[in-house]
Amino acid sequence: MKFQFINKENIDAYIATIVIGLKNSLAYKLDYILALFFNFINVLFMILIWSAVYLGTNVSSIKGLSLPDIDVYFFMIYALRGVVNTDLSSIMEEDIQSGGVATSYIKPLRYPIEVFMRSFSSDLLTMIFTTLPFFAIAILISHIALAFNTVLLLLVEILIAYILINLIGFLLGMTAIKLIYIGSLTEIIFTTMLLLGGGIIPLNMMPSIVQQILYISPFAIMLYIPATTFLGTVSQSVIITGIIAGLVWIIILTIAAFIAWGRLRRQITSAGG
Amino acid sequence: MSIVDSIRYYLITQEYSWKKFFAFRAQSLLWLFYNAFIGFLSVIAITVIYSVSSGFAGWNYYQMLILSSTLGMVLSSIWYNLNSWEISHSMRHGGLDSYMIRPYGLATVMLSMGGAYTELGGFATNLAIFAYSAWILHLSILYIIIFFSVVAIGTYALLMFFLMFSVLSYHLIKSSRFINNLLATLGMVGNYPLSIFGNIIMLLFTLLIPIGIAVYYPAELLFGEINITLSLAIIAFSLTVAFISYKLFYFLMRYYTSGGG
Repeated sequence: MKFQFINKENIDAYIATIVIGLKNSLAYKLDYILALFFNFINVLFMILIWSAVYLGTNVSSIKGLSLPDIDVYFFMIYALRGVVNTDLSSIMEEDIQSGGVATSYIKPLRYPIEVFMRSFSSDLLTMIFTTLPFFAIAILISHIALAFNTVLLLLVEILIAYILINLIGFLLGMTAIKLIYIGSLTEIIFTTMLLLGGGIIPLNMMPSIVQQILYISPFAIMLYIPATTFLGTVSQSVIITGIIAGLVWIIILTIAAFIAWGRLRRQITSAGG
Repeated sequence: MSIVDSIRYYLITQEYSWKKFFAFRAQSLLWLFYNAFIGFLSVIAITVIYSVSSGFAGWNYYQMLILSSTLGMVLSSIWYNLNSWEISHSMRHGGLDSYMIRPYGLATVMLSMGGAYTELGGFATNLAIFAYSAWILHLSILYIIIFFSVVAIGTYALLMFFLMFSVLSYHLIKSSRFINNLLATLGMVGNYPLSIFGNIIMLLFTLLIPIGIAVYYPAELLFGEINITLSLAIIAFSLTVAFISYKLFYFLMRYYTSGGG
């Protein structure tokens, strides 16, 4: 593929890609509303389950988290799941399977950026329909007055998480060039992320050695660290470790993505039409 | 058509679907691995919960594993046979019409359309977890046989319920994607004793969305928490749910109009 600089015309085209993606996604408004409804129900059940654990154990705090903290934690987790729920790999898989990648290639746009823009449009809607409502509820029930520094820190963590998940999504999407069907691989990675990122159980409840390993993995910064930063229950050293680890992972994954794309893009074949 | 013909038709479609499934071996094995892996998630969650707390009142760790693995097996069986999305998709695009001319019962045809065959991986994992927990708890073979019989009746009722629900949701909103969301929610709720959610939710998941009849009540029976009269009442209720769902399914299908061609 011929190298293409990003000029003004291209930027307009990329923005148009986002707008088209938004319009396409909004055709399925009911799906977003139902997803929001079921996510809300799931958080409520999560809260009831943990309430039973706290009442059954008859303690006010487990590993430094009180029951109200757990409630806020899971609302934050579901808010953050909206951020790290990228469609990038699925879109790339669909492009390879349907042959859509061939038409993408004749556009005067760089495929990796163009496909990211398409993914970004649905990500944006997920953030609007999932992240914002759950984040608002978390603020409402926690009665936390967020300091400017905390907001800034949260934004940095969320940005790192979003870049990381998109890099992982892009690398996964590229495997479709070889494997064609990657739905299972995508599910394995995203479920692993949910488990190792603290989406099912707060990481501080895991054994100490597991925690230490997970804090330097790319997963903790996606869910656990932002959620506990919001709550104020995580130490500064964990936050710093998570951010540094996240940045290092971004560098590693970016290099891996560049190398892999450089090699694999020549092997793309249109599997459909 | 006799029930033998229906079973033969079901088995033939199974053979065909498995061959189709293994056309992409790497993908098939990854999906099987994924489902097997998913089976362990609830074990991890329960293990962590019991390592940092006393867990759920009246339920020890291995009893929780029995409950959770039973749910895994029940949901795997449902996902294996029922693809709600495929059903509503084929109704919307008219693809179902070609299936409807086959000389078999509509319920058999729609349950043979192809579910998630990879759920076999999840079923195997949960069966292994169940066997291990049952061995640790020294459960008698007779109790386990009775338990699985009640679970099987409950699962059949639940399958009929979701089949009917898939058609109903097509009539109401022309989509059944939310059934997948609902099953995912059940996958979380059913992992835990229904009693912890309070009476209203317990009734909801017993009468309205009857996951309790396939998982929670059979587990209570296995641990001797409910008597034989209540157990028989649950079996009778399961059969009633299956019958009503079956009749409602055929009633709704009478009003089916093809959405495409």
